[in-house]
Amino acid sequence: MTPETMAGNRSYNRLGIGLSRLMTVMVGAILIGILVFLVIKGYKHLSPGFFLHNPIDLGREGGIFPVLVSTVLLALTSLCIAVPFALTTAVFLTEYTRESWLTTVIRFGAECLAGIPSIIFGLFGFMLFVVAMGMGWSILSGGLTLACMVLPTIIRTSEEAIKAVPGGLRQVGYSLGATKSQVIWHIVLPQARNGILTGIILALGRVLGETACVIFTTGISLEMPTSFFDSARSMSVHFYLLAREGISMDMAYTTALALMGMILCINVAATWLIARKN
Amino acid sequence: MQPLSNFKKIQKAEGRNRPRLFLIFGWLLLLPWLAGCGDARPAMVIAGSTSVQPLMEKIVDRYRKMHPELKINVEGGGSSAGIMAVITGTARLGMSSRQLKMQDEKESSLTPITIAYDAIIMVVHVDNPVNVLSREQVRDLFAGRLTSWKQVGGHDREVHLIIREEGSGTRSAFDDLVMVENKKPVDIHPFALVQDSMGGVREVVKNDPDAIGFISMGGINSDIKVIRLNGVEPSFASIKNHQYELVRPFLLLTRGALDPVAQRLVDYVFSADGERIMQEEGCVSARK
Amino acid sequence: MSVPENKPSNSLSRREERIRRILQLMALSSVSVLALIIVFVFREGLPLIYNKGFAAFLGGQRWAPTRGSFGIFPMIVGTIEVTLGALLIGVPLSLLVSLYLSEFADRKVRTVMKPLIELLAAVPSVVYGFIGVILLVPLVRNYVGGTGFSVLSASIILGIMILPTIISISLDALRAVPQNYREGSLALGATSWQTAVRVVLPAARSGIITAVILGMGRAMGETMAVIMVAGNAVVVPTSALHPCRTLTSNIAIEMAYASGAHQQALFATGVVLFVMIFCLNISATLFVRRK
Repeated sequence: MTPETMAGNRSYNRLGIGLSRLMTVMVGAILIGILVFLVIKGYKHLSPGFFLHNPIDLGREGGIFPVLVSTVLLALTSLCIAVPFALTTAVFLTEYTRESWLTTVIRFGAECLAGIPSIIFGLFGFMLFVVAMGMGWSILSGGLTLACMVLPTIIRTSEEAIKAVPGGLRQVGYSLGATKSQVIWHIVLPQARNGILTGIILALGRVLGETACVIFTTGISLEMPTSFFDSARSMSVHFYLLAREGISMDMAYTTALALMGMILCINVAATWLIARKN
Repeated sequence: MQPLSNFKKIQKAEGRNRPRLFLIFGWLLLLPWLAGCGDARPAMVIAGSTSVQPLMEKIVDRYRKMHPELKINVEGGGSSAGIMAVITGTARLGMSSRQLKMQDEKESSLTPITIAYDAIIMVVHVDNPVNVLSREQVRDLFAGRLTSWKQVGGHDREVHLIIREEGSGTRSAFDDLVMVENKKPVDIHPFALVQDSMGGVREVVKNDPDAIGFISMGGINSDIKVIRLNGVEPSFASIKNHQYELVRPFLLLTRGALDPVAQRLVDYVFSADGERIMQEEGCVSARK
Repeated sequence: MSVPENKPSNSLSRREERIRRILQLMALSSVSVLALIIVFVFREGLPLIYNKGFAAFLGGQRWAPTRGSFGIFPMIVGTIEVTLGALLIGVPLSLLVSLYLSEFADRKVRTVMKPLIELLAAVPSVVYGFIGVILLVPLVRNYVGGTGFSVLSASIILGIMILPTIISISLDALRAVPQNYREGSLALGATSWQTAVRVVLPAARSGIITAVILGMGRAMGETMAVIMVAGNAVVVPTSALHPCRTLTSNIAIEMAYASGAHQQALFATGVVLFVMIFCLNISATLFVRRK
């Protein structure tokens, strides 16, 4: 290596590091900018009243209480339906079946479905639940549709988490005389808890941010839902409608901020739960 | 001694039997409880045109205050979506801002109730110097034959066209009333931007100095400027006197006869209250 | 004589069997539901593609569903252009940022940036779309040209949206590269930049490819943000300033009122999307396996 090459290398080095540093600063600035923008525009209406009062005049004033409740109900419904099925499927696929072409096909199918645009699920849910099965625009239709949407994701992440549990641990269980289900229940699942939880949190984030799907299956009613067959408006839908129709930019931003705060809290809680286990 | 009981003893000692089971499956228990304690009366769903929607939302809001025990939900989606919803039974009443297509057998099976007459307003940015356009000029603008605002009396700037999606009643009405030449339909320029609601069109026109779009009269506010079509200012009076040309009916659609609850709501729409709300929204009531 | 020792194991194996049955049932249900979705979409969509003709559907440039024209070529081009645009903007940026954070930044910067990036993954897509409408679209309109609603705007917004995904996964992949790779390279006289780009980056290749594929999938599937900034005109965009409509936007815009052949055409669009994602996943799997 000649001195010229080395000098050339050094300047490339500086250039490269400098460029990547610049890009990082730029990206950081964009990200912080978005956050700051939302906070500045949205904190005006942020108050306990915002969360507890009903909307007045289609959301121009007042609060978002029914929207908040609808969002929680929708999220709970979809997870209540998706999680048990996804977990049992993941457990069954990993622990109770041998690796064969069938399991590969199922796994690939789940992988593909996890990547399918959510609007397809919306189309499916609208045609099947809302129209064909007569459930109309309801929390049930939306919950079922969203459950179908996150099912592949939770199956996949749970499967990976369960597979990651070392075989030795299972052997310990068996040697102590436990049955298969006991080994899974008392040893494997607790060990895989972090991965499974991460998958569920990911799914929850996706459910909370979903808009198009929800509009077409749960509708846009601002009334407080009193049954699963009621139409309801989730927070992302409320934000979308307020912003796009120009009803109230301020309230829209505050709703967006509240939604992001919610997602943030869930992420933080999940991180805390995972850390506690370790 | 069963080796199994060793394991069970270990588990009991750690006391971790119940909570995990409950955590995974207990959520399912929530569902029937929530469903049971709720009010399972089905809501009356009114769905359809985003032009009729603001009007119906106000009327239903006022009606609900008088009858708080009723559950009425107003959904959007566009005129064709509303028609579809009534046909499939997803909605009890449909809202449409266009006439039913009589050649379509499913559409013609519905019963239309004309509740108001509404004007299609051409809107531009508040700073756009153009105030008056003829119907032919609007047609040529949207067909792409006129491409610069200069050609209609404005600045030398490119015209940005904003239209609605195909399922929109306002779009259908616009196609039928404006985009015709010698009884033959004229295609809208393919580069026209599509917004999927009236509010969306208004927002775009509000922010783009070169944009022109069409909305219903109820959507007018101080953010945008109204074009006088053929010199006629769209207003309650000019609609009633048939001076303003682009007028289309607001319809409520039903399949078969109205049940008592729906009938009472429709009666309210035609009441003096309803007429007043319509006037606030800028439509002429069809009340006799 | 009965075998008391057997009784407990009999009831035990019966219990085990019952558990197995329940799990099998539930697994079967989930798998059936997933299969049902795929079957439903294909069953509704394929007949239309068959009737109208493969070439006419995919290559047809005229989309006028209420009048019987079902050419989705403009939408296919729209999806491809917008996705490629998003990758063009998102991937180099993500790679540079993850390289910097992984190789050159000190720990403090990393601890600040990482949660920030994850926070941005929590922003709903409608919020991105809306920020695009009020900040980006006027910028493009005033400083670049056109109406502002364009392939360019959609690409930029999508590019920003996929940054958190690609950065966080790439960062993990880069951090996972063993330290002795770097030490060896530096010992041979390479600069840290050369080390990062020629040694660490290739070593983390499979993780980074995964990240890019995931980002690509997200960009391809994004609906709301694109509807808000892309203009939704059914044209084949030949310039970045032209408006465009993607396959997903098309479904969302027309879904509520489609019926009959129109509805089938939307499912057929779903079939096309399925096939695209399928090919994407297969090539990703093959690529990873080859490593």
